[in-house]
Amino acid sequence: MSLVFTEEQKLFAETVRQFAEEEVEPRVKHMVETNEFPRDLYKRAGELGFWRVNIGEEYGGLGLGVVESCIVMEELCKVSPAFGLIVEIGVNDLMFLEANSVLHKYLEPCMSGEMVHSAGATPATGQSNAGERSVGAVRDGDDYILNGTYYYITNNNAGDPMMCEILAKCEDGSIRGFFFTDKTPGYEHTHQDWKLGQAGTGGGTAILTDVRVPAEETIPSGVGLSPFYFIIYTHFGAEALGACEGFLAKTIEYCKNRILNGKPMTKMQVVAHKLAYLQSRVDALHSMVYDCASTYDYLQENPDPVLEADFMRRAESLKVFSGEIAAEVARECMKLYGGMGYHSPEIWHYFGDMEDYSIMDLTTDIHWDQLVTLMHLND
Amino acid sequence: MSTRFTGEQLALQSTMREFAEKEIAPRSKEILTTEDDFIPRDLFKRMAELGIPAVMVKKEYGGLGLGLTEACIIHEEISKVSPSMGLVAMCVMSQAETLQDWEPARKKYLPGILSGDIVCDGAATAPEGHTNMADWQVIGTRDGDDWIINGTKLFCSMNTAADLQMLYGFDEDREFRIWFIEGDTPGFEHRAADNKLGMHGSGGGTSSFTNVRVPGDMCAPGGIGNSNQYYHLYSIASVIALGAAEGAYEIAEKWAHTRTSNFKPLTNYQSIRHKLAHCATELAILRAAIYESTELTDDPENADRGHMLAQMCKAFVPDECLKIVHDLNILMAGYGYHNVEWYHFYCDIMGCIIMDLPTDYQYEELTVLLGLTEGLDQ
Repeated sequence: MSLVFTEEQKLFAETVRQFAEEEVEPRVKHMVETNEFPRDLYKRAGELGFWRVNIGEEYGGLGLGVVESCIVMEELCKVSPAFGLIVEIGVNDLMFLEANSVLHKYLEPCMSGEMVHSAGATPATGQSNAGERSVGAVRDGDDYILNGTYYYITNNNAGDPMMCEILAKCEDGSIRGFFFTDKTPGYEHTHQDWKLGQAGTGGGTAILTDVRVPAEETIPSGVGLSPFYFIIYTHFGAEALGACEGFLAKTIEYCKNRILNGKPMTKMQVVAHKLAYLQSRVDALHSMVYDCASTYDYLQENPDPVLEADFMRRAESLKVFSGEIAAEVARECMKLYGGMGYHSPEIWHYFGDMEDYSIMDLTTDIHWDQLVTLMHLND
Repeated sequence: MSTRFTGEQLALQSTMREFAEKEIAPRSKEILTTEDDFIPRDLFKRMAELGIPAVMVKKEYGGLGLGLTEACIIHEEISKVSPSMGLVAMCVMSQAETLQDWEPARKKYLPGILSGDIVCDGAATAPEGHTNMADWQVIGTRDGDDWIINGTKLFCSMNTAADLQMLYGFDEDREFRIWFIEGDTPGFEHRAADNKLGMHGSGGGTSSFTNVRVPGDMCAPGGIGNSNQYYHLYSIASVIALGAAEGAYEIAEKWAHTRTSNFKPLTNYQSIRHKLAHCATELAILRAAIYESTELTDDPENADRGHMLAQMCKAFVPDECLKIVHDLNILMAGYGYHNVEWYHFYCDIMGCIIMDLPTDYQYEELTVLLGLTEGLDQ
């Protein structure tokens, strides 16, 4: 286990970076201004194998670890946190499909980028509000019947073909993941208007009216503190990390070139110190992300319950820490950019995008509660 | 909360609150999504009917002759529902305040500005940057009795709707001047702001000048107006940010009372209650500092102390307000992130931070006011 990338990992990062800089970055302004889903870039991400990274080779995946999927998230988010989010949905959730042989039918089209993976888990009562969540899936013979409304469906603006993943509560109180296509009778969704950030990633509302899904096309989903979520938190951390690195690098470049009273802004001591302060935060975040990722990968080969508990707690810490660091970096970089940033969508999108990391999935407040549990403070 | 205000000031506050809640709030979505990047023209007219452009104009010129405290009361209440309308009010008020001191412009334009028939914008920021005045290019040259203007100005608030522009810049002798230019003068062009982070409806586009001819009497020396007007703008920018954060807080507090988690309102959770209490504490202290600065500024004997505090407020208040609203963003979660009527507060406050001079430069100027250095780091 090492935090230093292998030669293969460095090469992989270089490939992702090249794609991000050459193909994604030129499209950022358009995404921010139109809120359109970049379907062709989605296809390209499939061609480059981003959704195959964590999937086993026996299913057509690359069988790589979470370090590699974090590299994907980090590099994409440097130029476009929104595109990073679009890709992340599949990187996380296609792992669900691996566990169910009937659902393998969706794997190849999703991994290739032909079929877009949209996902929703927030009922009207709120994502973190398990107690008030009403039953959304009722067993009917070999099927489940789904009813209800779900908010914030990421990627739901992508068009056909689309796979929909909905996490719904069953009669026995458990949460299951349901997989179907957007053409399934009874499934309707609306498009999300503008959000604070993450333009182009959808986020509309899905309305399910007697949507019938075969029981064998569902999977049980752990609620709360199942290990699966800690891979997601690690990916969130990598997204926040990439966004911080991308925005900070642009800001440093701007400050070097912006002349104030005959000198570059970086010659002002307070500006230089602020950039150094932000860099120190981002470097700490980098260590946390790859510590969690490599620990997880190590645990796959070397099971160790004590280390696994440590990993879970550290990944939980990473989620809260990365959200707050990202928001701080975004605020400070915006301030350095001044009016030039405030009037440039290709700059200010970071400000709105990076506010998402303290909200997405569960908010920072809820994550403090989860961390309290992992610290055994409320046994 | 308002014990420091006089009866008249309290009456003004309640008038403005009613205007904000009854007339602006129902149209906040319209303001946020305006196509031409200017607030609805009828609301602009209503602001004039309520006397907002006249606040800082002397009574003998048809103004109200009020002080900075009254100006801030107005901006605070408007910004609670629409910080971008607060910004528009700030522009209108401060331009009228300056323009009254140049007789030809006063005679020709002030009545229209006070009645809301003339939209007057201000253009100052050169492409070299606002703080970087040493590098500003010459924008006006003499031609007989007239002036010929050539150049570009960025971030001109309200420029898309402007009938009149007050242009700030240097002449060929590097004298700082103000030119009053009518919107339809040949060679004078406006481009709407591309796409801003926030403050929607307040303009902010680029104005360009190609051999624009301005009559000699429509040019004033840069020194007209109140030389301390900058400090007024600092207090007002601070109070816009404060009003925005207070508006956000009101929504978040209501949300915390009504939104339930596991059958209990969010306020039942200790960490949420403390978060709200912390935000309320910060807002109260920031507010006290702002009105301390305006009271001192309005008292000629203490104006210097008021100015120093105004500058401190501009450096400190919007920054703190942004952090407060970030904390509240987390409380509002997906509902806030997906709702422009909530999240605009966060983006608008960022606008107050970078407005005029950004934070670092405010502190740089403070080092001079505090006697820590002889001059700016140049």
